[in-house]
Amino acid sequence: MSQGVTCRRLCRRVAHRRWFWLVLVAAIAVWSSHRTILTCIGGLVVVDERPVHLDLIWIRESGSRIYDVVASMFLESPRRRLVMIPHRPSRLIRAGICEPLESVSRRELAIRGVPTTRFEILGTPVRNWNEELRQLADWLEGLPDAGLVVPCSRFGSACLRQAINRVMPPGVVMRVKVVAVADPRYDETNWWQSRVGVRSMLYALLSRAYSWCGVSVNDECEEWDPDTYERSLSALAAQGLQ
Amino acid sequence: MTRLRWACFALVAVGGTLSFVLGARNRLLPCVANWLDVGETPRRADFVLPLGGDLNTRPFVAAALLKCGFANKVLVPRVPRQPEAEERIVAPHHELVARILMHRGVPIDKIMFLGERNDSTYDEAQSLHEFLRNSPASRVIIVTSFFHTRRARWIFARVLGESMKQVSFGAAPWEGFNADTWWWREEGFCFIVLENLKFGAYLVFYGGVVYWITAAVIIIAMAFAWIKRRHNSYSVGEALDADAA
Repeated sequence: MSQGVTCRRLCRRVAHRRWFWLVLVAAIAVWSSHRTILTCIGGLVVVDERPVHLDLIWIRESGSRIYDVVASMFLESPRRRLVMIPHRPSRLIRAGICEPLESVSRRELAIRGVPTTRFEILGTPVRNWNEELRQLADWLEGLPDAGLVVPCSRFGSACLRQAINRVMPPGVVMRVKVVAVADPRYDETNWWQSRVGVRSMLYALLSRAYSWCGVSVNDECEEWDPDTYERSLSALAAQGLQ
Repeated sequence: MTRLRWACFALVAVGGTLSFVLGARNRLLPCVANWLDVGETPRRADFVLPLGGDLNTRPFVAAALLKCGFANKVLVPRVPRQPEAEERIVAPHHELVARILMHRGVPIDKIMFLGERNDSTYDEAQSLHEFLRNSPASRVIIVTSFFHTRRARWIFARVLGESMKQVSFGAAPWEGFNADTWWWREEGFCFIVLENLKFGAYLVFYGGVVYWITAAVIIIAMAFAWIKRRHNSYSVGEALDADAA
């Protein structure tokens, strides 16, 4: 029986050593291929589709690189149309602090040789993403053969694709293509090397996870009123609670 | 049989915990956001400093604090210049903050720019530290989003050191979600989860928590090895007794 005990001990030691070497080899393998692993993770948030049939370019974001891409697509075939869906003006736009997307886009595209007459503003001002997609889908259903492309930020492309697939009807989804525009500071092959890249990646991954869960989104959001806040502060100051 | 029992127990424990969290989410989840909010009731100061990163509420809160007499001047952190093509589309952040302040009635002589290259909260803390060296008696209210106050306070405490007692924090709301319903919206979910992850990362990488974690892992491994050795010696003892019998 004592031989049995010794044999059990030996077997346990062999098993422990095996686990140790397995973990060590796995750690070395992960470390040596960490670049590949992180690039694969980066690929989860990027969707870049090259449209075959392109009639419409949807502008929904600003940025000099996005305008470069839009201008190059338009100048390839000037018969293409540029479309935009207006959003309800934010506080900063109403105050004249920031320009609305439409005026920025017209100006920037004019600098890049795109005539402003090719711009079309569709529908009524929307409050959020879902309304924007629904309005666009309704409009596209009236153009059964038109293909539409939307250039967007690289790490937001997968989320946009997910939202398009979720909100738009199947007949329209196939005709909408997402083009991921590169950011000069980082992309899916080097995002971990900069703080802004890591932050953008984490945000994009969380966004994807949230969309994937299909959580019901409360689209309505009450706007914060700075005047009300100021009145409450005045009351506080008047009470002498300083 | 013992392993199966442990596996069943673990399954029941995990399932029970998840069910509890899901059932009590409306009470538990706000705590995740409220924990991040360490904003204080405003008190009289010399300066108010709205941190960069949000234009929708922070500059408005700073303007309100100044107009209601809680501060005399506003410090606006300068950000690095961007390429001309980008600046044509969006003006630099500090210029937009100054425009907002003036739009809200703050006189231009009450606006001062702080630092040269404020890329992060840490840079802003460094700039304020430099400023307070030249104005050692000044008190400052730092305004940032409610979920950012805890991490900002931690960073400023590490940089300012003794000068931290001259500083208080004001929490600005975030337009889009609040602490009680942040998980209803994608933006709220991403920001609150990310802020918790960031704060944890800061504690580990900059706060020396990595040493505590390493010590805890070593202690747990030693305890586990000791328990296993005792269990083995009991098994050997029982086997020898059985052999003698």
